[in-house]
Parts: sequence; structure tokens; C-alpha cells
Amino acid sequence: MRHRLAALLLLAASTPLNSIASVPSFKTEDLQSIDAGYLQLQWEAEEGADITLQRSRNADFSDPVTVYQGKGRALFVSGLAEGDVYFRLEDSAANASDILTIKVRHQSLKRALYLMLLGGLTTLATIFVIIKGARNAR
Amino acid sequence: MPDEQAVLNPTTGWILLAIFSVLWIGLGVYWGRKNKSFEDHALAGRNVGLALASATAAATWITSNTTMLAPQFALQLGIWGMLAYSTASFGLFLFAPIAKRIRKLMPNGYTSGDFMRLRYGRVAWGIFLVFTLFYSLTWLVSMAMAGGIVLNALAGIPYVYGMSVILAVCVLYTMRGGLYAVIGTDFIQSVIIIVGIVIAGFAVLSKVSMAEIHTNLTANSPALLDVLFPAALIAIFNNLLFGLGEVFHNNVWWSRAFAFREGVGQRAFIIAGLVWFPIPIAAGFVALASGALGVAVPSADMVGPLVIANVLGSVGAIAIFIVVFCSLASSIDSLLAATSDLITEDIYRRIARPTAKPAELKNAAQMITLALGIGAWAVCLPRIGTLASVLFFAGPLVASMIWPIVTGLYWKRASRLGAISAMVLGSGIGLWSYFSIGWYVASLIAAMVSMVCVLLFAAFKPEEFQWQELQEGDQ
Amino acid sequence: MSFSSGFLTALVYLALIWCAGSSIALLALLWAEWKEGRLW
Repeated sequence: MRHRLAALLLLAASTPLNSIASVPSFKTEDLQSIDAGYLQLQWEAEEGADITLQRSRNADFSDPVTVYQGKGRALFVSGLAEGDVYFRLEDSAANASDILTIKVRHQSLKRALYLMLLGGLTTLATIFVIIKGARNAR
Repeated sequence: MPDEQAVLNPTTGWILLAIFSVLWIGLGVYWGRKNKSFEDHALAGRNVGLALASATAAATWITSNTTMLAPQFALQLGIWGMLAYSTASFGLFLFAPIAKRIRKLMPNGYTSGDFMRLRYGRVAWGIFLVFTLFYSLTWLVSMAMAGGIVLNALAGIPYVYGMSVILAVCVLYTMRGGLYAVIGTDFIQSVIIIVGIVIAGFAVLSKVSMAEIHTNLTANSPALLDVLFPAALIAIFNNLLFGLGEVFHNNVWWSRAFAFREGVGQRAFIIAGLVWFPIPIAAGFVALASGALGVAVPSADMVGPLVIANVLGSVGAIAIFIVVFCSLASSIDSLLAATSDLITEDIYRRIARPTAKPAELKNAAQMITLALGIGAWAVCLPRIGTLASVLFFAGPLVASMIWPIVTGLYWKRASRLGAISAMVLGSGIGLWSYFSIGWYVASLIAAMVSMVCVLLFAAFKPEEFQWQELQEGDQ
Repeated sequence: MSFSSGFLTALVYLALIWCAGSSIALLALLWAEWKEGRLW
């Protein structure tokens, strides 16, 4: 796990510069499925434009939540609950982007618990060997 | 991360860099005067006391990821993410009895390679050397790269300069001061890091209460609070086993087991584990506050610095800079020292020049440290993004060595074939599962497979190992 | 099922106080060994 920092930093560092576009648009892949509830949203918009990013649980944005407002061109979102989440961008001139759909499909809980059990048993066995060995060596 | 994200101006960054560079190198030269032989240089005279021993073990385990990655982990995997990270302290707790055992079985040993060679023979030793060098060198390169990138993101210092300065400083003081310098600076670094984390944590809490953070997370990131968050649950034991593999096999830790004064090792590693355990939570929770504080996080790896800079302004940015620099240095120096000792003892002395005198070995160790530094620098220079992904492979490699090492230390019946098959099959199947299932099971599967191999051979084709064989008479 | 606000609060405060305590403990240990000249 210690290597993930470097990898992610390098990933972030290799992001190309924003190109100029009049209507804000997402650079993040549409309709993608994520299994841990997090992803980085990226978009492009006119240079220096203030952008509002909204999130909704409904495709018609009947209950929008503003998650970001500013001149940034990326946002990391995490902890999303199971289901489809919709995002859209708007600049100050009310130019709106297409809607971005992210399918949050968490990994199977059953499999996660099963893997936890295996991991727990391996760990316990290791601890057992060390403690018993240390006792016998005394 | 582009320069415009920098939270500190470059001049301040350079001044801080200069102050700490001079401090570490000065201390390295000062402590280096104690070194007379390879044994002094590599093992600090085998007489390190409890205070320095505890601090060095904790500091080495506090890498740039504890301070930078713990917030990232919290942001991605929530409360379980922080707790999963804390389980890495088990590596230190469980190494405590192992360190005692190592000191007893091999009072004159130098490296973990010595153990593998004497316990399991040359084939297992060869595999071990390949695995551990792969792990150590990629860790070294990843830290130097991360250092350059972090200094760039924090203070706008150009990547190549930041990376070069960090490496050069660590190489210089490690070369001059050997393990004395590494351990001495580790103490100062660990105290600075912990104090910095505590100050930053309370500063965040003065701006926003935990209740507000909880409310914000419930509304915007409910999975982070979920007790049954699948991705986070899977991460727990995979991380724990990765951590055990890292600590149990690597010469960074073995060299400390040899260097600590008799009777100190076990207590020192337990204290180090206790010191380390709360740090991922204390450093990580600030990420959970980002939403409640209204801090927009463009990429997960910058969440810690962004939140602290938001709360503490330029004072916070300076604190982060110092903490990150200290945590990078405390790990890079240990890696340089332990890896150069491993190469000096296991390759230079055992393969190339068996008759080498102590003074010659000390010079060789210094030259190898320099060569490692230059090599790492050359690899880091082009800043190849894809290179970092290679580092993920280290998980299954190190996890496959847990069982051969643990049983090799405690069981007479643990056998050569058991160890060899455990390392080869464990890492092989672990890597396969990395690609076919996912990174989050690779270490777990590698550890399980290697456990089965060791157990089968110990049950059906046991050896009768004599512990005296671990004590070489030539020291 | 979610971790409660109380659990999160307790966890974070415990971790911070623990850290503060451990840094003091390390310094105390250093002082004690330094006085006896047994650092290394």
C-alpha cells in the first residue's frame, strides 16, 4: 500500500493541461461503474470560468446538491452509496454540460466478508506460530 | 499536480529545505566520527538503547505515506480505511518477539540475507535477494519520486530539484554517519512528525467539530461511515499482511534487531508499535473534515496538505512541509543504509570478496550507499508515471516470505523446499490473482499459499535443523 | 449500519491524545537514558 501514494501522485501529475472549450464538459468517462465509491471527476471549460458542479440521485436533477463551485477543473468524490449518481456542470453564463452518469456498484459484501475471514485466519495462524515459538524458546 | 496548487511560496520552501539539509548532514558527519569498522557503520556498535531504538523503529515505519497516504486512505475508504491503515502497526508488534529471537540465534549476524543463507541454503537465499532488492529498490525510488512530487505540490519547487536534494541529503548523511546517523536523526524526525500531526489535528478540530464532520459525511459520503463498506473490509487484512511481509523480511528491520542492545529489541518494537498505531487515525481524520470545511480536493493524494493549509494557513503549510520532509528522510535513510549493508554483506562479502577486512567493508558500504543513491536518482529523473505501477507487485512478493521467515526462526522442521516453494508459488499465485482478481487480494493470497506450502513440507518432509548452524564462527 | 458520531469523536480524540502522550514518553525515555549515558 505504501506505493499507492507515488502511483496516484504520478497519475495526478500526468494530467494534461485544460484545453479551451466554451461549454463545460466532463472528461471523465460517462456511464462508468466504480466498485469502491470513489473517483476523480475531471472537466474542461473556458479558461478562468467559474464552474458549479451539481450532484443528484435523479437523472432529472430534481434534488440537486452543489458539490463544488470555483475555477478548479477536477474534484475527488468518495463515499458514494450504492446506485446511480448524476453530475452536471454549469458556468456563470448558465452553459450546462451533458449529464455524467456514474454507476456505483460496491463489491459484493459476501465476498468481502469471506476474504476477511481468510485473511483473519492467515493472520491468526501467523500470530499463533510467533507466540507459541516465543514461549517455547524461553 | 501543477504548480498553481502550491500552498507555500518557493522561497520559503527552499529556506526550509536548506535548514533541514544542513541539520541532517551536520548530524551525520558528527555521529559518523563514532564509526570505526563495518560493524559500527552498519549496526551502530550493536548497543542502541531503548529510547533511540523505539524511536527509530517507529520513525522508519512512518513513511511519507503515513503522513500523506493516511489522509488519502481515509478519504477513499473512510473510518475502516483509517483503522485498516493502523493495522500496519501489527508488523511492529509481531516483530518484537522475532527481534529478540534473532538477537539470540544470531548474536553476530549482520543481515536478513545471512539468516536466509544459513537457514535455507543458497537457492532460497538467491530468491530472497531478488525479492528483497526488488522491494527495497522500488520502495526507494517511489519515495524519492514522491518526495520530488510532494515538494513540487507544496512549494512549487521543480520536481527534479526537490527529488535531487532529498536524495542527496539522505545519501550524504547516511554515507558519513552510517546507522548512528540514521538512528539519531530518526529520533528527531519522529518527534517532529508526531508533534506536527497533533498540532495539525487540534487545529482542524478548533475549526470544525466531529459532530459537524459526521453530519456532512452522512449527507455526502455515507459509505465512508458504513460499518459494512466492502472495499474497506477487504483492505484490512490485505494491508496487514503486506505490512507483516515488509517488516519480517526486510533488512531495514533486521539490521535494527542486530543493532539494538541485548534485551532492548522486544520492548523497543512494542513501544514503536504503540507509538505508531494512532498515527494513521490522527493524521488521516483531517481528510474526513474536508467536506465540512468546504475544502475542494482535486485529487485524493493532496487532501492532507490542502485541509491543513486551509485551517492553519502558511503556518500549516510550513508544518506540513517539515513533517513530510522528515517522514521521507526517516525512511529513505533507513532504506539506503539497510540495503547497502545487505549488498555489502550478502553480495560483496559473501560472493565477491570473502577475505575483506572490516575497514574495507565500511568503505564498500559507503560506496554502495552512494551508488544506490545515484541509481535511484537516475531512475527518478525522467519521472515515468508507469514505473510507479510496478511497485504494486511488491505486495505478493513480500507476503510470500512471512511464513518461511517465521517458521524458519521457530521450527526446526521448517525445510528448504518448503521455503523455496512458499516463496515461488506464493508470489506467483499472488501476482496471478493481482491481475485476475484485483490488487486487494494479492498479498492475502500470496501469504495463504506460502503458508500452505510451508505447512505441507513441515508435516510430510520435515528437516531437523540445528540452531548452531546460524552462528557463523568467522565474526 | 453506520459508525456513530460518538464513536468517530472518541476515536479521533483518543488518537490525538495518544500521539501527544507518546511523543512525551519518547522524550522522557531519551532523557532517562541520556542521564545514565546509555543512549548507545
